[in-house]
Amino acid sequence: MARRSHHPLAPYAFLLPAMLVLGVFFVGSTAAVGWFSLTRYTAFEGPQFVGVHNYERVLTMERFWRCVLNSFTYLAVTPAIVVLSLLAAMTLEACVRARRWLSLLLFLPVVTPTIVGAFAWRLILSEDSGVFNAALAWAGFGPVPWLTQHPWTLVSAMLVTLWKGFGFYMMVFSAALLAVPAELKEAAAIDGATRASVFRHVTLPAIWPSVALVFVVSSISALKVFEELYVTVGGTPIESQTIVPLLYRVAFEEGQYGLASAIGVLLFLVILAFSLINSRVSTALRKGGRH
Amino acid sequence: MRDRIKEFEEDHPGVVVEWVDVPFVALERKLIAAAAAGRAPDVVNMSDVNFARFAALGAFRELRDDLPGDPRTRYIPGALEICELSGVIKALPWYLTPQARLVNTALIAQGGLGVQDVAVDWRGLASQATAFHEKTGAYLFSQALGEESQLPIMLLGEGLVPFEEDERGRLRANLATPQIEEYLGLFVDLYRRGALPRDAATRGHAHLTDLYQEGRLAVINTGPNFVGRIQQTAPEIYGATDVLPGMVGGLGRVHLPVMVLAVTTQSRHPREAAALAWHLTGPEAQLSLAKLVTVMPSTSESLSDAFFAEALARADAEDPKVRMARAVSAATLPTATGFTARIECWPDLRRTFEDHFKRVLLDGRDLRFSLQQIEAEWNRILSAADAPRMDAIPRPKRVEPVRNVGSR
Repeated sequence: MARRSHHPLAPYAFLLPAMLVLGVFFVGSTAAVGWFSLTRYTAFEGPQFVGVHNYERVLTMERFWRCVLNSFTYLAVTPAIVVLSLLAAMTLEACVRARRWLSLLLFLPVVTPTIVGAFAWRLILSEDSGVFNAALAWAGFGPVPWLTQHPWTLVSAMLVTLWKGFGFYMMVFSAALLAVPAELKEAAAIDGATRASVFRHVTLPAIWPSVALVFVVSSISALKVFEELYVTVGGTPIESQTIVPLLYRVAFEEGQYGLASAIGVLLFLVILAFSLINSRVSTALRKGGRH
Repeated sequence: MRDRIKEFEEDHPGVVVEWVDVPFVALERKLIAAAAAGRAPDVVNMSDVNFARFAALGAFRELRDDLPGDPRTRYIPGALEICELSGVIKALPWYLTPQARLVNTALIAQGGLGVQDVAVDWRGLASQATAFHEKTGAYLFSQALGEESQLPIMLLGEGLVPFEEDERGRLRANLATPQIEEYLGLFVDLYRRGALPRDAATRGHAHLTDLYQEGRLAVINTGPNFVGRIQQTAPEIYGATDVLPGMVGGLGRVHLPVMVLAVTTQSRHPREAAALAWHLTGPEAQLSLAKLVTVMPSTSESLSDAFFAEALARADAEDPKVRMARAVSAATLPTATGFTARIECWPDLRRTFEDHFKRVLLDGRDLRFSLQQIEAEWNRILSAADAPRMDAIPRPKRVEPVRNVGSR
C-alpha cells in the first residue's frame, strides 16, 4: 500500500495557530513579566533595568511574608472543598430521584459571578446588620468581626471560595463516581464488605486521579485568590490578606509595575513548587494504595 | 459639557474633543491601564487626592508655558495652590465641593438632640457620639478612619501639624506628639467602644452615604452634591434631612476638596489639551456648571456672580434643600481650606498612615507605638522625596466657624 506523502512543514503549519496564541498570550507575556521584574517601571515612565533590586525589596518586605503566610493559611480551604464536594457528589449519586434538581441547585454558585456572590456574602457577614451575627446574638454569643479582623477575614473569604467552588468539583467527582464499575462494588458487598470498606477499598482508589486533580486545581485557585478578598474584606490591612491582593495593590494602587512583576514571578515559583510536590505526593499515595 | 466642548471646537478649528465619562471609582485603574498601553488621555479630570498620587508617578505636564493666560489672576488662591507641586503648576482647578453636614433630623430627635445641638466640630461630635449610640442603637456620625483615611486632613484642620522643619529647612515628620495622640485617641476609643460603625476602619467615604441612606447614621460630612442623590435613592431620609455648614476642626475652617483638570505627559497635543483645560475651567463654563449641579466654581469672577449671593432667597423651581446646600457652600467657601498637603509624596504618607491606623483599630495595636512607626516611615518617604518644605503644608489662621445659614 502506497504511503501518502506530505510536505515536511505541514505538521508545523497545523501547529502554528495554537503556537501563535500560546506564544503571544502565554510565553510572551510570561517573558515580559520576567523582564519587568528586573526593571523600575511605572505606568507613565518606561522600564529601566535595575537587576535583582525588586526581588531584594520583595524578600525583605514584612508585608510580603505576612501575605505568603496568609496564602498558605488560605490553603486550608482545599481539604474542606475536597471533602464537601465529594460528600455532595455521593449524596447526588444516592438521591436518584432528586439528582437533577439537587445538582442544579448545588451548581448554581459556580455560574454566579464571584463579585455578586462575594457581595451577597458581605451582606450576610456584615458585623452590624448581618444574618450570621444576628443568629449568634440570638444564640447568646457576641458578634464575630467577620469582615474586619484577621484571621476572621480569611475565614470569611474562604467561605465564599468554598461556596463558589464546591459545585464545580462536585461535578468532577460525580463523573468519576459514575465511572466506578458497579460490579466491583457489588462483588465487595457480596464478600461482606461494609459500605465504609467499599468506599475505602473500591471507590476511593478508583476516583483517586480525580481527588488528586481537584486537590491540585483547588490549591492553585486558593493561592491565586483575589476577588473574594477584594469584595468581601477589601479595606482591611494588606498584611491580613494574601499574595495576589498585595500584587494588585503594588501594581495598581502604588503604580510600581516592576515590583509587582517580581511578586508575580515569586508567586509563580511558589505555585509551581507546590504543584510539583502535590503531584509527587499524589502519585506516591496512588502507588502505595495499589500495593 | 457638550455645549462647552462645541464652543472649544469652534474656537480651535481642526481639534476634535472626545469626552469619556468614567465612574469615579474606576478612574485610577483605567488611567493606569491606559497609560501602561501608552494611550493615556490628553486631559484628565480627577480629585485633588488622586492628582497628587498620579503627579508623583510622573503623569502630568507642567502647564505654565502652554496656558493662554495667567492662572494666578483667574482662580481663587486656595484652589490653585492644590494644583501647584514644588512650585510647578501641574493642573488647573475646576469645581469645588466645600463639605456640608447632612443631618437626619428624625434620627437625632430619637437621640434627644435638636439640629442646633449637633456639634459643628469633630471634638464636639465625638463627645456626643457614645450617649447617642447607647440611646438609639444608631450612630451619630462616622468618618473614613482606615481606608481613605480622613484623619491626616482632619489633623491639619485641627491645627495639629504632623510635620516640622529640620535644620536644613526640609520637612520631617512630627506625628508622635501627645496632642496628636490625644486627638486620634478620641476616634480610636469611639471605634473600640462601638460608637462608630465597623465600616469606619475598612471602607472609605462610601460607607457614610450607604449608612446615611439606610437611616443608621445621623450626621455625615460630605459634598453638597450628595443631597440630590439622597432625594433619588432614599426619599424618606431626604425628607428628614437638613443641610448645615460642614464639620470643622480647631481652625474653624471647612475642608475644601478640589476637582482638577491636568494634561498628561503622554499627550501628543499638549498645547491644545492645556487650552481645553483652560476653557473648561473658565469663569463662564464654571458658572453654568454650578447652576446645573450643586458645586462651586474655582474662579473669582464666577464666585462674585449674584447667583451664589442670592441662593437662599431665590424662590425658583430648584429644590429648597439644594438651594440650602448652595447657600451653605457659598457661606463657608471664603474661609474653606484644602487641607491637602501640596507634596507629591502626600498619597504615600497617607497610605502608610492608613496601614498602621487600621491595625490600631482592628488589631488593638498601641496607638503611641503605631504613631512612632508611622513617623519613622514618613521620615523615610520624605527623605527620598524631592525636598518638600513647610510652605507646602496648609497652616491657615483660626477663624470663627460658620455654624448655620438661614433656616430650612
